[in-house]
Amino acid sequence: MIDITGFLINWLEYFAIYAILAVTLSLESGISGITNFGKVAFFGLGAYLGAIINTYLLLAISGVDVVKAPPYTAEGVIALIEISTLNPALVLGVFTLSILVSFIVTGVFGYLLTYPIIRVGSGFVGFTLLCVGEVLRGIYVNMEFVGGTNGMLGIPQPFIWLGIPMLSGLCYLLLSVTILALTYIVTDRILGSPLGRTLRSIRDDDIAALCLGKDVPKIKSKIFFLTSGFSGVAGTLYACYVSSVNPQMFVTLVTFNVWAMIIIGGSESPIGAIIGALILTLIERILPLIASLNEYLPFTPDYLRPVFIGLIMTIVLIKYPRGLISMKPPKFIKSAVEELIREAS
Amino acid sequence: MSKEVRHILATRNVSKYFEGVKVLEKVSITIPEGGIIGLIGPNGSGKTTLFNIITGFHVPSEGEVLYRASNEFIRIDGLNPHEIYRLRIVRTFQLPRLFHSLTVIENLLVTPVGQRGESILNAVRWRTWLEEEKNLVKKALGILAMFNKLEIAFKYPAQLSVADIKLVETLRGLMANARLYLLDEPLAGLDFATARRLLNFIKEIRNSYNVTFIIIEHRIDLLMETVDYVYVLHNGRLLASGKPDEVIQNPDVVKAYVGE
Repeated sequence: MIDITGFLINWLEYFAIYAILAVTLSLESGISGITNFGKVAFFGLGAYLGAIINTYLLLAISGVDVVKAPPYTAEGVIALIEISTLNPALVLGVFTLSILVSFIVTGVFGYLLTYPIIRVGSGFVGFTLLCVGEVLRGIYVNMEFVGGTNGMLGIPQPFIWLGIPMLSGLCYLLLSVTILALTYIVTDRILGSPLGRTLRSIRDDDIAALCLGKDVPKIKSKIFFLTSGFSGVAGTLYACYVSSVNPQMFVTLVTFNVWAMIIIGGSESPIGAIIGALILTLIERILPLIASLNEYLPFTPDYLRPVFIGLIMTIVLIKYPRGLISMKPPKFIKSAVEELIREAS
Repeated sequence: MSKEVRHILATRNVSKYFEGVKVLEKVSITIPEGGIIGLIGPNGSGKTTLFNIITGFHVPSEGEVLYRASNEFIRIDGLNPHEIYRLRIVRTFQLPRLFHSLTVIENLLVTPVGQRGESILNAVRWRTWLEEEKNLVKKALGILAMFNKLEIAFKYPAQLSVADIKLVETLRGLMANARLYLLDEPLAGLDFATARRLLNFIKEIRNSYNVTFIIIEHRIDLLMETVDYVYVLHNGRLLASGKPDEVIQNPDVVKAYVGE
């Protein structure tokens, strides 16, 4: 028997995390025209920051000697499990801190990274960011204090002290969806504001935008601060949900998964990005169920994933070349203008 | 004694070399405020390069560009294009560059610099920019109404005629309160009637706002009806300058255009 509630919570949790990535990617790539092939760099950085803060800091505050029992060893993991079930206030406090820190650190990292490279063509920006993702992964592999190739285990899920897995999962889901909602509201408001208009103008023609007084590199970097920050938060949410991080979780494939989401959903619309994330995470979650029927299938289920995603992408793009949801003009301007025209006539 | 003319822009001995090729050589021009100045010359004579230097896309190899910002001249060579725009100098391109995913009214609304709603913090709180935005919308509609073009407000550039695209490009400057317009071949691709209409619009804008135009144009017949003064460039050098009638009869200019 399939556990439907458990499946739903698991799916929606993955959906919330990936939707944050997709919405921010639609803001930076679909709307502002920064080709970000390095989404995983910021996602991974956020995850590792979350992992470090939620283990080292938690242990240190609780008086465990992190040099003798570092969190990537069995002693450290056992100590973490004890603390996380016994001291809810501390766990929640450290978790909140980790969310804030990963937003700011990842955001600043994104800003400092893009400000110098944003002046070159968008293709080069894409590949530079792609490389950054890979370089960061190389750094994680070679850093012993984050567990090297094995990564870290036992990152406490902040609601684990509730005792009932389903309840703590549900609380965590609510938190993730709240952060997704925040991301969506910020993105949507930016889109409807004069800033959104400026971003679209830069995407259309950055030389002309420069001639119209827009400080293009600065505006792009600022947007990148915001989107990278939210990606970092998504990373922290992910690390605490799966309770572990390791370098293999942050391969380039993650980036292109998010790209597939916004291509299917419509890259210029945050709603489209959310729909894309909903579809693709559902496929990702269903595939393990199919794979469990391995012995009854006439083929290996391993290759179903690329087949499914490729098929959906092809069908959607034939029918809707700009994705399921194409951009709509901001509501406010239209209504205000119509009002003024009515007054004039 | 003649009335003293206020100048808005001057270049002094501006030269530009690209890897040893002299594109401009010691070009000095002065632009009176409120004038419509023509800049003509055969292909490759350096007209667009001069525009690029004035608008900050190129740094001159030699010489300086002076601009009267308020009451005194400041050097503007070496500034970035967006900084030069903030001094209220607006240019258009040989090929019109409207933003294709923005409607005409948005193309106008995007031009004013320093809008409140352009910072991330203000953008998410729409109350901070709503008032300003309404005023800008009113202004943009007023500008379109002045040229009887209200009906194109919600059209995308791809739905416009070439003449309208060129007009909107010029109107963008009006929206941004420009003082100096640099128009690069505004008449290219227009038929006679439309080209005249656009030139009339330009005159109208000049007369009502006392702004200055510098126009690069190959259609000299039409241009000469409009401009007050003409500079002729040839092989990167200033060949002649003067009132339209004088220039057109200058044997050097004729030679440069049609050969011996």
